[in-house]
Amino acid sequence: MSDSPANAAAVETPAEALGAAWDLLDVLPAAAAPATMTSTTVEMVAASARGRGRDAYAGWLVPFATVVAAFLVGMLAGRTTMSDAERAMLDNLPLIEHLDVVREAGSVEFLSQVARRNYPPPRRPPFGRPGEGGGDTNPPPYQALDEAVAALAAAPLGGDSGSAAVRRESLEARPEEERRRLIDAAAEFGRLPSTRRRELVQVARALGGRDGTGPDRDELLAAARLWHQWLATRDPAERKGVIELETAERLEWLDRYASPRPGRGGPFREGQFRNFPPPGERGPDGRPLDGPPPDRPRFNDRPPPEPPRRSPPPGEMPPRPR
Amino acid sequence: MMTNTAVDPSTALMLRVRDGDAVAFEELVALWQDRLVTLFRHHTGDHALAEDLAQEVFLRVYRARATYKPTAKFTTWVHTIANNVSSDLRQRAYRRKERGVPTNVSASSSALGLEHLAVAASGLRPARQADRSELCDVVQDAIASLADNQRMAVLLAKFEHCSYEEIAAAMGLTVPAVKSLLFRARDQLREKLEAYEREGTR
Repeated sequence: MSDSPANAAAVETPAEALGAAWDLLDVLPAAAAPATMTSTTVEMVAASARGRGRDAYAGWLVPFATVVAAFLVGMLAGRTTMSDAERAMLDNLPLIEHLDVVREAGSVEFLSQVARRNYPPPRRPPFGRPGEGGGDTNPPPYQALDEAVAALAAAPLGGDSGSAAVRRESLEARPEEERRRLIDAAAEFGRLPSTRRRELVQVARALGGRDGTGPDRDELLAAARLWHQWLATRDPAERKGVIELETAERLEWLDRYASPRPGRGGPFREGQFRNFPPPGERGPDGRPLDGPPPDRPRFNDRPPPEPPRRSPPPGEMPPRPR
Repeated sequence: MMTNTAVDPSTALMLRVRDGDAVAFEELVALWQDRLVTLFRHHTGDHALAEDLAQEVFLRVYRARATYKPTAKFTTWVHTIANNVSSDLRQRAYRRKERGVPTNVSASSSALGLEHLAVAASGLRPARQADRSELCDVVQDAIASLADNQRMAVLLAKFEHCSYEEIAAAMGLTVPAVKSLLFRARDQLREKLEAYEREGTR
C-alpha cells in the first residue's frame, strides 16, 4: 500500500488499485432484499405511474388551456385595441382613401374664399387636351372628386370602436395592392403637419356634409370643382406645387390667373383666353386688350424733343436769364 | 447500436419494459433488487434506507423507460441512476443539516475517527478475538468514512465488478479520475483499518 495516487495510471484493475483493502471488503455481506420487495416495488411504481399520469394530464392540460385562453384573449384584445397609428388610420379611412382629392381641396377657408370671390372658370382647356376653351365641350374629370365626396358623406370620419372594427374588416378584405396603397397614404397623411391634418379633416367633413357648423356644402363643392378646373389647366408638375401651397398662396395664384384685371371690363367673355386675347380685341375703355396696361407708358409715348438751342455769335454775350 | 440483448438479459428485459411489458419490469426488479439493496446497504449503512433507495432506482427506471436506448449496457445505465439517487440523498441530507435537522445517513458513521474504529475493532473485546461480524462492522465503518464518490466507486468496483470505464460512465467521471479516486479510497481505508490490521485476527 505504498503507491500514491500519482501511480494510479499504472494499475490495471480496481482490485489492484484498492490493494489489500479489496480483500478486506469481502467481509461485507451481500444484502438480500425482502421477499415482498418485488411486488411492493411493482405496486409502488404502478401507483406512482397512475398518479403521475393524472398529474401529467393536469400538468399539461392546465398550461395548455391557459395558453389557449391567453391566445384567444390576445386575439380579441388585438381586434379591439390597436396602436395609435392604426386607430388614426381607421378613424380617417375615408379621408385616406381619397387623400389626393382632399389635399387638392385644401381647406374650408380656401374653398370659402374661392366661393366668395366668384372666380370665373378657366378659358384654357385642361392640360394635354386638344381644342380650346369650353369647359362644356371638354369637362374636367370630376369623377374622383365626386367619389370622394360620396365616400365622405357615407362614412364619417372618426367614430367608435365598432365602426373602427367594421373598417378594419373592410380593410382586411381588400386586395393586397390596395391595402398597401392605403397604408402608404396613411403614412403620408401622418407625415403632414398637425395643422395641415386638421385642415384636411375639417374640409373632408365639410365636403361630406358632416360639418353642420361650416359653410354651405353645395357652395364648397362648387368651389372645389372650380378649383379643380383651374388646376386641370396646369401641367402636373405645376399642379403638384400649387396643391402644396397654403391658403393665402393658393388665392394669390388664383388671383394672378383668374381674377379680372381692373380696367379691363371685368371677367373675360366666353371664348377668350385670359393671357392671350385675340389681336385687336379692345376693352371697354377702347384700348386694345393685347396692349400694355394703361398705367404703363407706351414706349413711343415720350414727349417730343425740344428744339436745339442756337449758340450766340462770337463776341456777343448770351442773354442773361431773368 | 450495440446488440446487448444476446449477452445481457437485463438489456433484453429493459427493451420489453420500454415497450410496455409489465411482466418484464417485474422480472427486472427481481433480477436487480438484491444487487441494488446490497450496493445501497453498504453505501448508507442502513438496510431499510437501502431498500427505499433501490425502489427509487426502479421507479426512475420505469419513468425513463421510453428514453432508454440499448447503446450501452443496461448495467451502466442502472448504475448511473443509482449514483444519481445516492447524490440526491446526499443533497437532501445536506439540506436537512443546513436546516438543523439531524440526519443518520452515513454522516454519523463518517464522523468516526481512527480511535473509534480501533475501539470498535478490538477495544470492546479484551481478547481481541473479533469475529467476522465485528470485522464486518469495522470495514463497514471504514467504508462509511470515505467520501461519497469514493465510497460509490469502491462499491461499484467490488460488488458490481465494474471496470474503470464502467465506473467512470456511471459516475460521470474520466477513467483517470476514477483511478485516482480509488487510490485515495485505498489510502483512506488503510488509515482507518490500520489499527485493526495491526492487531486484528486476520
